[in-house]
Formats: sequence, C-alpha cells, structure tokens
Amino acid sequence: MTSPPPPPGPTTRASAVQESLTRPRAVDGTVLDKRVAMVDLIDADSFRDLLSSFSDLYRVGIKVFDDAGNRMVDVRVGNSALCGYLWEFGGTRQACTKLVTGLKNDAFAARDGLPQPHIVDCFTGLRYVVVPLVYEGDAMGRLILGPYLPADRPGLAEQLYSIDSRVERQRAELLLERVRRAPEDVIGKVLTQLGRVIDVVLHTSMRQLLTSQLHIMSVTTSYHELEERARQLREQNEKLQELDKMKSNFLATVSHELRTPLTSVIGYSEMLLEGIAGNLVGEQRDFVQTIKEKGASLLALITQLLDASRAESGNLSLQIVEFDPTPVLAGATTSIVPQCAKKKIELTVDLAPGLPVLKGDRDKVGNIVVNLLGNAMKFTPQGGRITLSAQRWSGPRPPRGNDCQALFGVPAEDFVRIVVQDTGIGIPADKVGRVFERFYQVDDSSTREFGGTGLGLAIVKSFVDAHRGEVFVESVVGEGSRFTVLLPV
Amino acid sequence: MQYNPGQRELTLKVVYYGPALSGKTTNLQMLHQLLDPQVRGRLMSLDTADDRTLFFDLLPVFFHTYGGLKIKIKVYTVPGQVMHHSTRRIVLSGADAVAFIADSQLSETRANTDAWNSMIENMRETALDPTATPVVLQFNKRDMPHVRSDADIDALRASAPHQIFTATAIRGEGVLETLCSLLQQAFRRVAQQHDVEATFGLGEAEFLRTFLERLAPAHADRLASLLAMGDAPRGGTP
Ligand SMILES: Nc1nc2c(ncn2[C@@H]2O[C@H](COP(=O)(O)OP(=O)(O)OP(=O)(O)O)[C@@H](O)[C@H]2O)c(=O)[nH]1
Ligand SMILES: [Mg+2]
Repeated sequence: MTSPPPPPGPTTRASAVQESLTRPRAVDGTVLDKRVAMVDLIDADSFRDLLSSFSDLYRVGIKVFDDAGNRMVDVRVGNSALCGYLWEFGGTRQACTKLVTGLKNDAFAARDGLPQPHIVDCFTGLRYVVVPLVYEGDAMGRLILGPYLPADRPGLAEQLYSIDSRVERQRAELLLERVRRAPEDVIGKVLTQLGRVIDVVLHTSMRQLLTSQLHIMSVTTSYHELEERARQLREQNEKLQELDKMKSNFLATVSHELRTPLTSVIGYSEMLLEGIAGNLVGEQRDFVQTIKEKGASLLALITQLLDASRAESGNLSLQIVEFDPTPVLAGATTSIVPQCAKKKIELTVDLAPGLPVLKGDRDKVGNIVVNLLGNAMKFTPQGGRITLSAQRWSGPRPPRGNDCQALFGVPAEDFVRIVVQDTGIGIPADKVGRVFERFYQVDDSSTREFGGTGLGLAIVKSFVDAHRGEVFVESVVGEGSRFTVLLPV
Repeated sequence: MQYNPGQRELTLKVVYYGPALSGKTTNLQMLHQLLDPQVRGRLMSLDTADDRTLFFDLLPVFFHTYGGLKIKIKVYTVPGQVMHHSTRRIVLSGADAVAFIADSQLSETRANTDAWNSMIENMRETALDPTATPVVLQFNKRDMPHVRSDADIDALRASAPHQIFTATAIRGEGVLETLCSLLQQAFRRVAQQHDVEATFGLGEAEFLRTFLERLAPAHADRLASLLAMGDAPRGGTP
C-alpha cells in the first residue's frame, strides 16, 4: 500500500518556508514571480460573506470557481425550489448537469487578448452571466451570476415541458415566482460593482501575500548573512588562537634556551665560591657572590616566564601523586626566610596538624605557595608580618556571579585551605579582580618599585586551576592582603 | 524572465534601482499616471507611513501582440535605504534590465556611487552577470539647483556604454523615455536567448510599436522618434 500524497495547502507552504530557512544563502526573487491560485490568496469565508451580502442586496445567486474549477463561493437565492423540483426528473436532471458543467468549464472568447464575459441561457428560460475574474491580465477564475429571469421574458420556456413530460406546468410556474426577475441593466450594474469589489479584494490580498513573503525572505536572507559573518569571525578567532599558541611555544623555547647557559653561569660561580679553582680574596668573593645572586634571580624570572607560557599554551602537565602537604608547605617557606630576615619581616607559619593527603602535583603546589609568599614579601614593607596558614576546610566554592550557582546554591566540598596574609600595601577594590591576569600590575610604578614580571599570580592561578581548585584575594588598601587557595581533597 | 511559448506568454522583469530618495517610487507613480489603464494594473506600494519604500513598488504592465503573445512586464522599485540591503537583493534577482535612478544633485554623488557599487555587488550575488544585464541610467531631479550640468551629462553620454536619460520625475519628464529604453533593452536580451521572432513574429520593432500604440499619441510620437535613434544603440552593457 502506498501512502497518500501530502495534503496541499498550508502544509506545503509551511514546508516551503522551512526549506527556505534551511537553505544556505537564499537569494531568490522568484517568490515574487510565482503564480498564485485564488484559493491561496483569498480567505474563503470572508469572501463568501462579502458575496452573500451582495446576493442579499440584489437577490441574485452568485457562484465563484477558481482557475482549477474549485468552487469557492455558492450563494443561492430564490431558484433552489425550482431547480430542486426539476432535479427530480431524469430528463431535466440531465439537462441541468450539462448546463452546470458548461457554466463551470466553457472557455471564454478573448478580445484583444482579454477574456470576455458571456451569457448562458438555461433550458428553463432562466439566464446566467459568466464573468472571467482577471487580475493583472491573469485569469484567476470565474464568477457566475444567476439564474434570473430576464425582465423581457414572459415566463418559463416552452421547451422545458418537452424535455421531461413529468414536469407539471402549474407547479413549475408557482416556483418561478420566487426567482428574481431582473432587467439587464440592473444585472450590468451588479456586475460592474462586483467586479470592482473583487478587484480590490484580489489586489489587497496579493499585497498582503507579497508583503508577508518578502518579509520572510528578507529575514531569512539577513539571517544567512549574519550566520556567514559569524562563521568568518569564528575562523578569524581560531586563527588568532593558533597564533597565540605559536607565540607561547616560541616563548617556551626561548626561555629554555636561556636557562641552560644561565644554569652554567650559576654553577661555575658556585664552584668559584667553593674555591675549587683556588681561593677567592676580598672583593673577588663579593663580585662572584653578586654574579651568583643576580644569576639566580634571573633564572627565577625565566622559570616564571616558562611556567606562564606553558600554562598558557595548554602544555601544563601535572605529575599526579598522593602526598602529604605539610612538608611541602613548610619547605616553601624556606625560600623567603633569608629575605624576611633582611627586611625584618615576621613570618608566622601555622599548619594545622593532620592535614589530609592531597592528590596532585607536589612541585606545582609548592610553587603556588612560593609564588604567593614571594608576592607578599614584595609588597610588605619593613617590619611587617606575613602569615602562612593551612587547615582542612569544608564549604562551598566562592560563587562565580554569572552562572546558576546563585540560583541553586553551591554544594559544600572538602578542601585544604591555604592562606597567605600580609600587612602590605593592599590592592584597590577595582583592581582586585585583575591581579591574576598575566602581566597585570596594579599600577606601573609597582613594577619599578617592587620588580617582577607580573606573572607570579597568573602562574598561581593556572596551577590552582589545573588542580580544579580556587584562589581568591581579599584586601584592604594600606592594611594588607589575604590570598586564599582551596585545593580539593 | 519567464518565456512560455506553450501558454503564449512572456513575462519580463525590470527593476528601478538607486540611492535612497532619488525618485524611484516617483518614477513608478508617474508611469502609473501616464500609461493607459488598459495596459497597466494597480500600483502596489509596500511602504512605510512616511512613503519610504519598505519592500518594493510594483507596477504591472501587460498587453497583447498581434502574433497572440501575451506580454507581462513587472516594473519594480527597490528600497533605497541602506538598511534594506537584503530586500534589494531579493527584488533585483532575476531582473531582465535595470534602470538606475541617480539623484542629479552634486551633494548626492557619494550616495549615487555607493548605490551603484551595491547594485553591481548584488547582481553578482544573485547570479546576474553585471556585464550582460542592461542598465539604463537616469539622472533625476533636473529641476533642482546645484546639479550636474547638462554638458557634464552629455559628455558622459558620449563615453558611457549605457543609455543615459535626464528626468524630472516629479513632473513626469523623462519617465516614459527611461521605461521605453529599458523595455527595449530587456526585450533585446530576451530575443538573444529565445527565438520569439520565429515563434510569434515578434521582433524588437514590433514589440515596441505594440507597446507605444497603447500610449497617448503625443507620447507615442515623441518616443517613437527616440527609439528610432535607439535602433543603433550605444550598446547595452556596462
Ligand atoms: N525636486 C524634485 N523632487 C523629486 C523628483 N523626483 C522625486 N522627488 C522627490 O524626492 C523624494 C523621494 O522620492 P521617492 O520617489 O519616494 O524616492 P525613492 O527613490 O523611492 O526613495 P526610497 O523608497 O526611500 O528608496 C520625494 O519627496 C519626491 O517628491 C524630481 O524630479 N524633482
Ligand atoms: Mg521608493
């Protein structure tokens, strides 16, 4: 069994719209050139109402067929009883059928290319006028006015009674009284009026149809154009990202190439200091010591650069192990102990006993703390205080503002919380959000005064992120800053 | 263009293109007034409350030739405002010939140039070959002060590959001339692709004569002499 074809009408039109929406780059003016059937153009119900009121006014029947022979309107007035009566007999029924077929289908004679109305006389002596409905030179359908009895006719045609002998004269003539008798000039007027009204209806409907179709088309076209623009932007963006990656790779390579010889410089300086090449005297020792120290801080800088560019290029690889954080944290403090002594900064270390075991990269976690302590050191003035503390902590991650956490709440998790607090210069409120950006300095003068690449905190952030942790800062200008790292257990 | 010999029907599409407010709609309004209601339908304007074209204006023109061919000509305008870019493209697509309505005022030079370039680009986008699609150029608003001089336009006529007309559309001057030339070129283009002459005995001269017969005699005479000149046209391609 084959499935029936899809129904015509709205469904097909909807799918045409659908198709035009999905078709790429639709620029199709043919929407304007399509030939439209009258049924698609005119709302059948309103059209019927309109013609009914005409029919009521002039008391004549009106039928409208579209170009394909579909009946759109059929308003009967007065003649139903007579026609119904004649339908009862074989002969008259046959004649009636033949007449109606002709009314519906007979071609119009054309004059100067335009189809002309014609008159059809019924076998009863009643009359119809058949008028072509033409819109801008195109035949849209036909209008049939009638039947009416022309005013100059005395009554029913004699031939009626010979078509079928069962037709009773008295009965037929009684029924004829209900049929409209009309002089031709009245019929002419009705047709002129009707023609004008229908023309307006067709024009208005066509206008409406074209407006909506063009509206859809231009929206569709604009949509495709925007989509194309978006695609281009996406491609550009991808190119830029690739460029960014290449830049990071380049940086990583260069940093590596710088480190190797620098390590040698430091190594040979140490050997000199240890007297392997003979004892150094007086200023010689001081000079070599300076070479070693400057070399070491240069190496630290380069290492930071390398870390940052690795993190940025997505090449950060973690050596995941399970480890006890306590010795890692304690070890990290040793990096700043000498500087603390020099700046007379009091360093307090408060590690809660029995910190839970962490799963992560031991060196990177150490690095996080070293960088945070280094940052605190840098911005804390002489005689200040730095505190490193750590404890187990259960609670929600800080909200991120723009996601649904605010709506649905944040589940509590277990963390090792590491806090580095200083009594430094603090960070202004409007800058707090940016301190973890690469190369960001709260103000340019801080670079000159405090040195550094502005990479330390960015590295902290990327390492913390790699551990699916959180880092944030609270700060009061002039009083100090407090950096908190949460590492999930 | 839709040519349907079986149904004895030829449909041409011509489009009035140009910058905003150059007088495209005015051209159509005047054509609507000047043409015999026997050959033209209603003017359909899809516009905004302040008479700016929103989608298009459409003036249908139709007549029959002696050979029994039904000619339907759809005359469209596009909206000139820059934001209606995609609509312009839709309306332009499938045009058999284009009338470019330029604003003669010197201050509009930039707008004219931009619109011209957008027309060429839109032709390419809609698979209309800009070198093969006839374009007729109309310098409108000749009644305004500070316009390109007649001498300037004459010089242009001598060198440009397009038919060039001057017009004051608001007074109906130059409007029929532009249309007739446009129809001539559109028909010529169709005749290159289909043998309308062999099938319906319809050559270019016959086509134009049939059309001119539907105009008031005063117009018809003037245009006939103009188009006789046009028998040796200065090419039709940019
Ligand atoms: N002085 C003068 N004004 C004109 C002439 N032709 C048109 N105008 C005026 O120019 C203004 C714009 O005319 P339209 O025909 O609406 O212009 P358009 O090109 O259809 O404009 P858009 O639909 O926005 O693209 C109207 O105020 C017209 O009256 C002319 O020949 N001379
Ligand atoms: Mg307009």
